[in-house]
Amino acid sequence: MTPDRATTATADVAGGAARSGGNAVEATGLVKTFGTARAVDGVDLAIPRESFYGIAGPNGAGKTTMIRLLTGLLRPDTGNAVIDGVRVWPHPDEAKQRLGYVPDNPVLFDRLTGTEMLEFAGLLRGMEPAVIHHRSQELLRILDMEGASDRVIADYSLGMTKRIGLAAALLHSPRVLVMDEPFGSLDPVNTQVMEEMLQRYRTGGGTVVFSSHVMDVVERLCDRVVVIERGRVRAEGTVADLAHGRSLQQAFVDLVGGRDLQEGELGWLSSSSG
Amino acid sequence: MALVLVRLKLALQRRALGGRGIAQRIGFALGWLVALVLGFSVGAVVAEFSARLPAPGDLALLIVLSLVFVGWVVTPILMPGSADQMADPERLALYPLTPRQQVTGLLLAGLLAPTALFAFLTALGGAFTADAAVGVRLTVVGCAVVFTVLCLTASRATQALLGGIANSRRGRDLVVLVTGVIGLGIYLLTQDIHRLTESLGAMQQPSAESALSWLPPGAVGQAMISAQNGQWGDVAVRLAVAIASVGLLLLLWAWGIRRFASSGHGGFRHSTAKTRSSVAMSLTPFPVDAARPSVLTAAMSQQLRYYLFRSPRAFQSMALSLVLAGFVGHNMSSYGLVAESAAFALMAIALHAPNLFAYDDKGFTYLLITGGPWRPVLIGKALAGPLIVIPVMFAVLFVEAGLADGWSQLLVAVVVGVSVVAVAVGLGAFVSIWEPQNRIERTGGRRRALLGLAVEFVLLFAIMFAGVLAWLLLGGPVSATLLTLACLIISVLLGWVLVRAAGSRLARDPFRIEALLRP
Repeated sequence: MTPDRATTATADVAGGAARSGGNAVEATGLVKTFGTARAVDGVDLAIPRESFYGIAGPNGAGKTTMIRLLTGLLRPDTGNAVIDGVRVWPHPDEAKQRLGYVPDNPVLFDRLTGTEMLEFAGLLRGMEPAVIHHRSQELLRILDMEGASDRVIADYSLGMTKRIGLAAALLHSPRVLVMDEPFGSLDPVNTQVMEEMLQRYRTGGGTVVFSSHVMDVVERLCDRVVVIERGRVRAEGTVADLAHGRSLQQAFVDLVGGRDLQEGELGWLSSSSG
Repeated sequence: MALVLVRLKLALQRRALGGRGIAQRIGFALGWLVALVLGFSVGAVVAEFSARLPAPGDLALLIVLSLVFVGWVVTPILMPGSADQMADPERLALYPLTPRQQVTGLLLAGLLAPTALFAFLTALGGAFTADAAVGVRLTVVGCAVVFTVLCLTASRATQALLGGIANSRRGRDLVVLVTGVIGLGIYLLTQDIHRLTESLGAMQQPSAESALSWLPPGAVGQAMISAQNGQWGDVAVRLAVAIASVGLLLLLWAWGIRRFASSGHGGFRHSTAKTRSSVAMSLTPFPVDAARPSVLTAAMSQQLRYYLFRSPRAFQSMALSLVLAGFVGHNMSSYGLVAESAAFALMAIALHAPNLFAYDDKGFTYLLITGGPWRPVLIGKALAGPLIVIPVMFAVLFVEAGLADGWSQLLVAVVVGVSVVAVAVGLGAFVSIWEPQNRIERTGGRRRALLGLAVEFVLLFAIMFAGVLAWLLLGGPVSATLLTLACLIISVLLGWVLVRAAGSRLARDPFRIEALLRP
């Protein structure tokens, strides 16, 4: 099924896009528990269309779990998410037609070449071969992957794998692009190219949601940010609202609590110590 | 120009070992010595055999010459690296040589090789028979020269057609298939060598002798035999066949070189015009690319690529199961071709059909991300195995039927084999989603995966038993053709229903599979 047809076929799945108003993604009361640990604890989110939305939080805060709940990769204990007007549960596959997702460490078929992977992704999305060919060539060129397109993914560096993962996620021109730590392991040139690509994608009507520990990237790119801590929303708003005149990095540290080294700690690291 | 290539050839031979000094010279001399001794020995043995036992001896000569010829032809296919690199059009394309100059030079240069000496001496054996007249001896020498040139041109034509094939996706896929079929054929031939020698002794196969004697290498052999029998008219006809074949091969060789010069690659790449799709997809190999691109063909292609060298484990599993199938099937040959076919099909498909997601590793999570249409994905993956197994099975059964004179059973054997494959694929798809195992990271329930395999075998045996029982019961009143057709239809339908049902079940809960496969 092509994305366009999927849109038509499921327009009433959640009462259409009108129900979610101007939001590309909505989450209501998301809860997910693993054993006794509550990884996501009643998260509500509303991510506007055509926005850059950052998800920040310390390690183990529940960002990845929340992303997996939003993208239909994990079933919530309670609550639900809506992507472009489609309830993720009980329609995860319909929601995924509107989504592109790039995990932190992209999961791809590493015995296919870059080109083959994109073709596979396109055919899975029900795209026409000519469209797949045209778009993959363009994506490979822009992402500087033309030279490596005939090598198997298993031989790629992490940065190259991420770029192919991004190409596979964008190929079907999704309404919402979700990325987990997208800029880690990319060199400065590729970071800049990816930022430009994402800006263009947003200008074309797409919504970008990404998690990152790199606060200057979040500050530079995002319209709004949510800070997650212990599975709960600690703060949400525009970058300016959260920063209050400080850098976003400082605001984040102030929010979740920093850890300063005491004087004398790690003194043995000094080259003068015996 | 031809002399330049001859000198180049000699220089390449001297440096073939890659080192300098005594070892290189010894290696060079040893190559020629081995060819000389081996060629002379084989030729002498065949000549002696022919003199003592004329009837089987003649057939032995035809077989030996045919085998030597086949060896020349398959070497560039089976071992591209061992073929004469000088004859690779990709290398010679750098120089201003016409195809005619190349062919002439390479032909002369090619004759200066130990392998050519071996072919020449093997064919020359007949010239040493004690009571042969001078005319006969000279004719045999001429025939040996023709045979050597025939072998050389056939090998070079093959190499020219394969030239630059690494750049052609379709060519690579075809070579893989051809290699597999030839390899298996050779394996089975060696397995059946005792039957071959028995039939030589008993001279039970005059039809085989007749057929061989009209094929190019056999025609040369027959010309020698006819010369010794004084049938000069037949000598002329057989030599005409051989020389015409050499001419055709030379044309093919030159065509291969010209084609490379004009397109920059071997002879298998498509022109710009495509068949069904306006865009060629790298993902879909031959012959899947004949079908309209879809989720099913994408999944099938992906799985095929695992088997065809992309995933060493998958390739190993497929190759081992085919060899095992050949071995088990061959040991069942005393029960007839149908039993052999069923055993081969069972062993070839049943080992890897029950774990279709084994080599996806993290890739299965990608399917989850896309919400991939599960049923066509599963069907595509399930059909990839039969795409390899069934052609190999055809080849094996064909060879076995030829060796055991079982042509009358061939059709039923093929149908039974395909039927077993169809049912095994259906059961395997079900086991694949019941208890999958990640064979890359060795995750998933290994014990239950083995249990799944056992269950598949038990069910498969039960279905096969029911089929045999039905065959025996209905064999009287219903015609064999009708039974064969019914067997095929029922098995394919059963397999299809099982695979579709497994796909639906997978679509209901892919998360369970993902959890089991996750590294």
